[in-house]
Amino acid sequence: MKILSILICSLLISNVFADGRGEISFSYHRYTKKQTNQINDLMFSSFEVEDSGELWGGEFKLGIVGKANSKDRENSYLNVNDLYYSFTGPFLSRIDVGYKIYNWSKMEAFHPTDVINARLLDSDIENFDKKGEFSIVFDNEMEFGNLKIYAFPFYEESFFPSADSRISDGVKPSRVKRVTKDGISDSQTTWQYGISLEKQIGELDFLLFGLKHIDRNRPIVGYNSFTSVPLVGNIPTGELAAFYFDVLDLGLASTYFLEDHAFKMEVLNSSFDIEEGQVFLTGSGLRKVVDYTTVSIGHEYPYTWNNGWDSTFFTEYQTVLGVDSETAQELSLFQNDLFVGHRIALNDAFSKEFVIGFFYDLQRKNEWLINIGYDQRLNDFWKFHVGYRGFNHGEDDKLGVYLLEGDDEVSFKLSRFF
Amino acid sequence: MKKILISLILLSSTAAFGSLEKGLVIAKKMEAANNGYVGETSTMRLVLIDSSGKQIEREMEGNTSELKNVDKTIMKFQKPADVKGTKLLTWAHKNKDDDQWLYLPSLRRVKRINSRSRGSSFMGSEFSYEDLGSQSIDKYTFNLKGTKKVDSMDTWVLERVSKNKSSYSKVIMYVSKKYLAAVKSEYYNKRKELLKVAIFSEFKKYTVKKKSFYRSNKIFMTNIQNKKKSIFTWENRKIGMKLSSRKFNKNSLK
Repeated sequence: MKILSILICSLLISNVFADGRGEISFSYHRYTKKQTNQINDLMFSSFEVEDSGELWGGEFKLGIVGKANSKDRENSYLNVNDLYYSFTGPFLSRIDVGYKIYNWSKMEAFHPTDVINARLLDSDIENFDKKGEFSIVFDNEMEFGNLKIYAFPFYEESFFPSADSRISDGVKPSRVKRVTKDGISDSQTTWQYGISLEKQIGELDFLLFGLKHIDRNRPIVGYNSFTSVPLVGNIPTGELAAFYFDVLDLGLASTYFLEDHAFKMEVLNSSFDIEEGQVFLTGSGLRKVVDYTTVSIGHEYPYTWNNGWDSTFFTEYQTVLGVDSETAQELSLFQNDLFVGHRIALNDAFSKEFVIGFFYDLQRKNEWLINIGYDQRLNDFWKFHVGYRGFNHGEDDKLGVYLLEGDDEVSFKLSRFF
Repeated sequence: MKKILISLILLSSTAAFGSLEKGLVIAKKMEAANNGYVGETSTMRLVLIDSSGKQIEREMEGNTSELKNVDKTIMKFQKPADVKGTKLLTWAHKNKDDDQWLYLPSLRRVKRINSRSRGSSFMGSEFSYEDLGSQSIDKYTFNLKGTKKVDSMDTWVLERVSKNKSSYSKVIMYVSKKYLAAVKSEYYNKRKELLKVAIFSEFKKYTVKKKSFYRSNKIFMTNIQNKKKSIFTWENRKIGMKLSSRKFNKNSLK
């Protein structure tokens, strides 16, 4: 019924927004290894509609996404990603008010600077889809760069998939709590602020930012109250929750072109505002919140073949600094990881495209993730994608890609554009 | 014998210098004929034809603004549905490398295109990002190779070589004496083999502030090596339009 509703909704929207664009997709995912207590295949329909235009002297943008999952009904949602209005002011200034998605990262695989939005945690673990965040943005194009000041009056919570889903592995937080120096709060109403400067100098372009916000990308899922029983260990006493923390993020995202090569770098320094000594009980043991820095570097090289095919080769590396190696493994899935990838577009009438990406953990023994995909259009409206994702969790612990161990999958997606 | 040889070398280098100078004079005439159009709006169609004859048609809305030392163009894809919303912003500088940014709605990201690797295909067509960028005469040398009739039209034959990094070793342009614009161009790859041939047709006369401009409204590009073809056509073309600078801002792509 949900699938039918979303279908009807998408088709109606496609008629209303004559100048907009949209996509409705039917996806099937099959896990290659069966699990008795978890979902072994997924079948869902999703849609995305977008419209933008001029209104009352300004501009608006609307973007909605939805998903109806027939096998795992809890994993269905409708979300407003964009719903904002832009006023144009004097001296090349602009004010945007409404829901927005922010993409600050410039890299292919690692995105440490994409920190603003809450996430839809049922998507790809290396880059979860984002949820729109309500914001008021003052944007001014100045001689020294594009300066933006951000204010967010409340925060969005991330979407957690059902406990039966492979990514949750039987664990779904029953609620979300915000941890501050003053204690734990359930309220979503709190101001977040930020400032960014974007500048291009010759072949170098960069974005510098500072953001005082509630971090929803790196929650701790666990318990804040527990008792320690000798010989047994720690026994949780409260309910399982996702804990969000107040953080000051300072970051840089940059690209430098040298001849045909593009070199990229992203840095994110995170200082958490939390009462010292507070610990949380998680599936992998006790966790403390610590300050750290994530650094990613990348190289991109495009190549045009004699037959007109276009290739792009990617090499990226990400590391976590400011903490010891064990803590780094707890903090990030990609704490000392290399990514190599290749995209090849055949530039033919069917827009055939192959992508392969391989993440390899240089620290954790035999831990890797592979993505292989093929895309092809069928005509002006239909397109399909087939893919394979494989994981290997080499270490005997509950870190890294532990959650996805044995969750290799093949997928098929058929999309209709309007 | 030695004197004859030196004389011959001097004569040939003088002739080469002369043809370069004449080439530059013609290129300057072409540029002068194109200056002062203020701005332009149009609907563009791009037909991609593969070697088996299969076609894809793409429709774009194009806006261009002429500013001092830079022409800014934004192209927004309207059709087909699978690429709708894709935008390409080009700042074609007269004296330095172009800036180009591509917005892909499926990724929701604005990607800056490296000005040194613009030989890749523009949206699967036989046009490259370089073909869509600045053709400012300061970036090339022009060598007049003679005159020729192309479709009964008198043309100058110019050999254009980029001073900066380019995906072409040279472009042979057949410049109409009437339109002061190329009616045919032959693109040679780095191995100096003929790669593509563009035929410019359907020239129309436009007038802005009493100055006349000729614009080709159709470019038929054939890739000699992979046998693919692409056709660019312009419709509802309006020249002399004053457009808001905000349209051509990188932030407006999102």
